[in-house]
Amino acid sequence: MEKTGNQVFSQTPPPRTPIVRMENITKRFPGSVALEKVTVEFGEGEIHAVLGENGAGKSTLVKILAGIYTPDHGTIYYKGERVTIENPMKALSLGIAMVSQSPVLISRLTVAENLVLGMKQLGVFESPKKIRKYFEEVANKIGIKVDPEEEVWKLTYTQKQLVEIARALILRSKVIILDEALTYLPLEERRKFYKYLKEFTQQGGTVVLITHKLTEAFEVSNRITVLRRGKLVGTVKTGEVDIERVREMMFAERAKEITYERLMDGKPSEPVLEVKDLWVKNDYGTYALKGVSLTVNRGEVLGIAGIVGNGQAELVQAIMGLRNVERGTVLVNVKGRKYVMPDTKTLRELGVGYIPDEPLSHGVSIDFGLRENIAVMPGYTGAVINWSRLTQLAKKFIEEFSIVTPGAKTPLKFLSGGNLMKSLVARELDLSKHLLVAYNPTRGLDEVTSIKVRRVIKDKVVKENIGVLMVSEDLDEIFQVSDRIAVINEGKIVGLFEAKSADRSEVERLMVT
Amino acid sequence: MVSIVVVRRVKPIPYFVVPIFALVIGIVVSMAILFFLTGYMVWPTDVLKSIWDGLTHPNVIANIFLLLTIIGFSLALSFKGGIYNIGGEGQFWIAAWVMVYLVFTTPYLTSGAPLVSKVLVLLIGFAAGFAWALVAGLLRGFIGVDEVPLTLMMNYVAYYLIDWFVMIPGMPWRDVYGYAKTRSLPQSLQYSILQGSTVSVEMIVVTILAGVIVWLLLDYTRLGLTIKIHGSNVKLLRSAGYSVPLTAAVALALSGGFIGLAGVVYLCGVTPSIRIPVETSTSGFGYLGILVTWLSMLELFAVPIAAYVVSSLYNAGFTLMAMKGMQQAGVTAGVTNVFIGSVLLMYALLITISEYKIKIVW
Repeated sequence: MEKTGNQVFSQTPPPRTPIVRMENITKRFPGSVALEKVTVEFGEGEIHAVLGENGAGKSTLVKILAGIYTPDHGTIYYKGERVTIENPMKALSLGIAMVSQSPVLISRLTVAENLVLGMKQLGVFESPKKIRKYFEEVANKIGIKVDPEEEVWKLTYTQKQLVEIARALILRSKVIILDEALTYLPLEERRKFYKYLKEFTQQGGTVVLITHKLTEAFEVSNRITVLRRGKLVGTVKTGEVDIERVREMMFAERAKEITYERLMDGKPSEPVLEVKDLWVKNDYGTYALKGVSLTVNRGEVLGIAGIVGNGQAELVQAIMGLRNVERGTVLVNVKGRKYVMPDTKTLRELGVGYIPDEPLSHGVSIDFGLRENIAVMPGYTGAVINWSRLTQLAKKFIEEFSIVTPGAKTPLKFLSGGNLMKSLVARELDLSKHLLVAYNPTRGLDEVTSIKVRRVIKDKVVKENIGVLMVSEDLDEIFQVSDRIAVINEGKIVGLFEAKSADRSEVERLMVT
Repeated sequence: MVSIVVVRRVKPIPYFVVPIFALVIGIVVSMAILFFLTGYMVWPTDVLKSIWDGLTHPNVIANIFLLLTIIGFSLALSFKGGIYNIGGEGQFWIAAWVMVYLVFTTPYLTSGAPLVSKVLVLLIGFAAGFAWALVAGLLRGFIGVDEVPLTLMMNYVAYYLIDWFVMIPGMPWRDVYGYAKTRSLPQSLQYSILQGSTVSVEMIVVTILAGVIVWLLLDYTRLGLTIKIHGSNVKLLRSAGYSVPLTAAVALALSGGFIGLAGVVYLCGVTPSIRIPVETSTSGFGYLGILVTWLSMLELFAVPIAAYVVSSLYNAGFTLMAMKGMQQAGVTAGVTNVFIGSVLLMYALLITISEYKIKIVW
């Protein structure tokens, strides 16, 4: 039974024992208020999901708790005592650990060495032998099969994330914040992990979960707090509301736009991108791609499904001329002309859009505003820049993609992660005249914006007849947008399906076996 | 409960705060050094008076001010791109030398109208500074050599090359035997001093033009934008299809080109011949320019302000060196460097500290 708004928002029972209470937290960034008088309690023994659209203030809230930001106003109580968390070390020493989307382990060191470093930072000097023992205990519990003597660069993304979480547990953390940390783990791994998190909470631990995957938030959480534009909408018990209600809390009337149905079919015609027998090495000199061949036609989306770390990043980089190709060919067909192994400059000038695997470090300059980030792209301006035209274009992007920013000139570093991603996606979609090469194009975007981006992509495919190569670790996205699906595993294409008739479980099976 | 915490700033402090504090504290430190170094002969009041004299007598410092302004604009161009050109000295003197060489070996260069000749030598100076800096730029961009020691070392290469060139016997630029300098530039190239002042119209015009061109280049051209993005995120440049090594090389070379203008202006407007050894007779404008650029916080409009203050310090150094007490204490040179070093050190300290703030949390 659906609850009314009043019931839901006002009848929020306090948690059993709040381990953390954040009271009247306000945080301002230049030109915007990220959080305004937000009060929230995280209870002992609960998984507490924090949800909201992009720019709602979720990450700011948990970063304050993790000591990355300090609030402008407000108080934090930990185990009933007022505390000041001035830096991440303080948070860790209190027992609050955060794991984000990108692993922060040092690649050249072994897992054990990384763990020793983590302990040292806290002033705990344990012998490597003892730390290995701790790690093995925790790893057994949560089912991580990682050799502590393995160098981190050799680990898959999943393993790295699990090691990060294991590190938090070794540090005896009582509160674990997962800021989109599980987003790109394969479903099976996520389920396994959620099972462990449940056990962790049963022993009194607290998990603060930030995710855009509402269904999972519903599956695992005990309570949900919703933020919108920096304000608290409310905290609800998960069992007492349904998903539609939470979506309304998050997006208000825009919640109606959310759908996971397959978008319209493309109309495939001639090939725009042909990749033949591509062999490419990763940063550590081993082969990440082992003879990949694929074709992207105009008027279609070819979705590449796979677990992160199976060569997807190297594939898009090689296609864009950003990584050396050891063997094989990349062909781009534009206006009846074939470009063999085109360099990045040629591709950009031809009108090839690119959403990189590390969008924030490779896709934008955060020291400059949206208009400068547009101007730097070939094709938007000649030798002399017409700023008034670009400002208009930036404003158009801001409006179309609902980018929350004080203006076209505001440095992107003052935007939330989601709004930053929207800025990049808006520009690259506009740039794509023939082909779009995209890696997780909706990474970090909320449901409404994600669906909007997918629609824009599909619209461009159908109306402007461009081809799209879309790599995504999100199978919902792959199935919603793709016309054909290729599965990549250990650097090889191991399956190719027509999306309409593809069997999801078969795709999942090929991704992991 | 009230706690005091040190946190990293989200919003940078206003850009003028660090330079002002660096100057004030740097001058105070210099006062202390000079006071103790001279056995209490140079009092802080002497230091303040000499600085004040410079600040209030624009005529005295005008030439240095204009030269430092041009160099400040030039260095800001590369610094904004994250390319730290420490080779201003070399670029300055190479440009001056190439001009002298061509003037005395290519007579038709000065055979036309004076204005044409003056413009031609400016272009030559730009090209020479550009080419000299391009060598470092290419090594920085394509081989990855750190440009800081590289450009610094190239200053010495430039000094010694010029020392050698100037003294080659029998060459048309050699002055009469016994003088360690080149012949003076022809009158047609020398700038005429404005009546009642110490500066020339040409110097003022070149300084303004250099500032305007650097501003237009940085703010209104794609090249300028790519240089600035180079200083912010080279990975974006790569993803956008630009050559990162070439952008670095061009940024350094352009910076050298504009410094080359200063080299030409110096010879045409201040002293018409090159004295050797260049490394001892040089006034160190390339190094002073670095201080100007940092104090301007890379804001072009603040470059002249910073140049004016640094010119005053430079002048104060010379005034103090001429003081009786200084001679007796054995301090005959380097007082300017005490100022420059102290201010630069304070700047470096404060720029780091300014990234943090002390916050009271309750």
